[in-house]
Amino acid sequence: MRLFHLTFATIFRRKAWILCLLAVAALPFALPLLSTADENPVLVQPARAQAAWGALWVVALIWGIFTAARQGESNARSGVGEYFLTTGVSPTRQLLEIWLAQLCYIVPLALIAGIVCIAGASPSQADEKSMWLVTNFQYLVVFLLVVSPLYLLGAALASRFGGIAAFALTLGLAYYGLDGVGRLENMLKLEENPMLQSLWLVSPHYHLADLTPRLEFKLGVIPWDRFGQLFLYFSGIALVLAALSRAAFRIKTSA
Amino acid sequence: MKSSALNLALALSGIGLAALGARGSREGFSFQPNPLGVKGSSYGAVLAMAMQAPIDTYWHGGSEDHSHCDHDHGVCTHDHDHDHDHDEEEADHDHEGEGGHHHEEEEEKILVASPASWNGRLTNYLESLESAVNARTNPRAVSDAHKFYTRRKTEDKLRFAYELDPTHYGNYNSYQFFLNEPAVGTRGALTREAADLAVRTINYCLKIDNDPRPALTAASAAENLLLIMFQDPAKYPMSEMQRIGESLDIAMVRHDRIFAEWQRDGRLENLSEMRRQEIAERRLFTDRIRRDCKATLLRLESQPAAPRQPQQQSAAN
Repeated sequence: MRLFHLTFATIFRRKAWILCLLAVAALPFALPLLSTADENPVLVQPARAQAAWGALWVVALIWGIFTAARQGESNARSGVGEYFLTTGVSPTRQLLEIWLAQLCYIVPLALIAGIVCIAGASPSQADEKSMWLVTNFQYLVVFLLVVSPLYLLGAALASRFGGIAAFALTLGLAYYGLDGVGRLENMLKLEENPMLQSLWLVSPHYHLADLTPRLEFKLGVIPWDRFGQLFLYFSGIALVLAALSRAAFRIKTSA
Repeated sequence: MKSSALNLALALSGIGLAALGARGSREGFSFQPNPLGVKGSSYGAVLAMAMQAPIDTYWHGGSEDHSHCDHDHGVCTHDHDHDHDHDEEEADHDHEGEGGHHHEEEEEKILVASPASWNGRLTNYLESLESAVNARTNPRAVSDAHKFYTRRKTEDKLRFAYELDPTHYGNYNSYQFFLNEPAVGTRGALTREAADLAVRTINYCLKIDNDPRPALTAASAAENLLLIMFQDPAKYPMSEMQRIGESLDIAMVRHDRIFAEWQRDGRLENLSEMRRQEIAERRLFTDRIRRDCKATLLRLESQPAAPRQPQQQSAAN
């Protein structure tokens, strides 16, 4: 696991994770002051929940994908990948170790967002409080299931095409899944188009993992059987991205 | 030393010049945020339509009821009509038949291919995931404070959607409704702001002469303005009401003229069938309200002049 330790230490040394930590831990308490929630204290909770998970998404997508792309690129360009190959670490294992090191930063950030949401924005009623806890847990699971494979993809594409291209492509895919797919659906409601309909069907519907409205509007827990379906759907997408990443990953750039 | 003196002289003269230029330009520094000029542009018009989905989400408190989806027969009707009679909301905003507060009514049918096909099964699967994520399972009713929060967010989004495209019939009327109805809006009774919105919308829409739809929005705004005046006719001079009535007529005539032009030269074909139907429905509704407004104006004109209040107020001032 030497590549894992190396990657972990490299990310740690850069210190950008400190800003991410501050963003996820502090913004949920600062941002509601800029909203209309300061006019009425009872409005702070939904605003805080929204800020906590919103900050996490922004950090995970922008900083997370950028870091993964950077690590993937440097592994290929700096010769570190070639070195580890000579020591018997296969390309797949190298990709996995880079990915695990990245996860060591994102998982705690996600846990902090959940804790901030639970500790700082829970409803006062006991039954709603337990629902809140479970909803945050469900959110944590689908969030990690959506975001983690994107790091695999980012690192793999960066090793082949460079960090900037990989960052743009992966972030573009994430944004498309979160927002673009919904807009495509609205367009299809106005005018039918078989080709776009097919595109909509095979697109990754990442917006289903954005459970912020469930917290903001206190909609309750997703029934476990339906949650199981959601879990399977995103697991399927994760496997597809893992396969693509494994195919794209290189330990050495050709140039 | 010389270099520092020169730097200081440059800095001070720069500050002096900037202060000289800023003197008397107080209005020049007022900031109306419009990044990339999106507001009021054709991109803004598309974004304004895209805003309807998040507005709808907040209005319905985040939940989307898919119980009307009949997947077995391959039809899923998503009704984004704001005329729903929500038991949990305080205000009955079913305004069919009432004037002025015409809410966006979009019946969107997603015709699902036969469920037996691969497309149909996958579409149904995605729809079921979406309903699982959006369905409300919390048995506790929404608290008053939470309702206020969602209404406030809805109002803010409606204002933003209106700014993106002031000519959009649905967004304008929805925002006007929030300003007119203190039970739904979150900023109390705002008669002046509501009247100002209607006047701004009329002025903005009547500047556009290449599309029949803004004229219809202008007509709707004139009707809303008349309805504000009709609530307390003693406050407004008859001449003012008649002037707004004339604006209403001008707007309707302009809509009909441009619509006829579009029909003749084929520009109407650029719109989808749904949009054409939407125009027809809105025109019909606006015309009915116009007749009612005209009847009320005639009735007020024929009434003996009531003792006026010492200070006449104009809705436009």
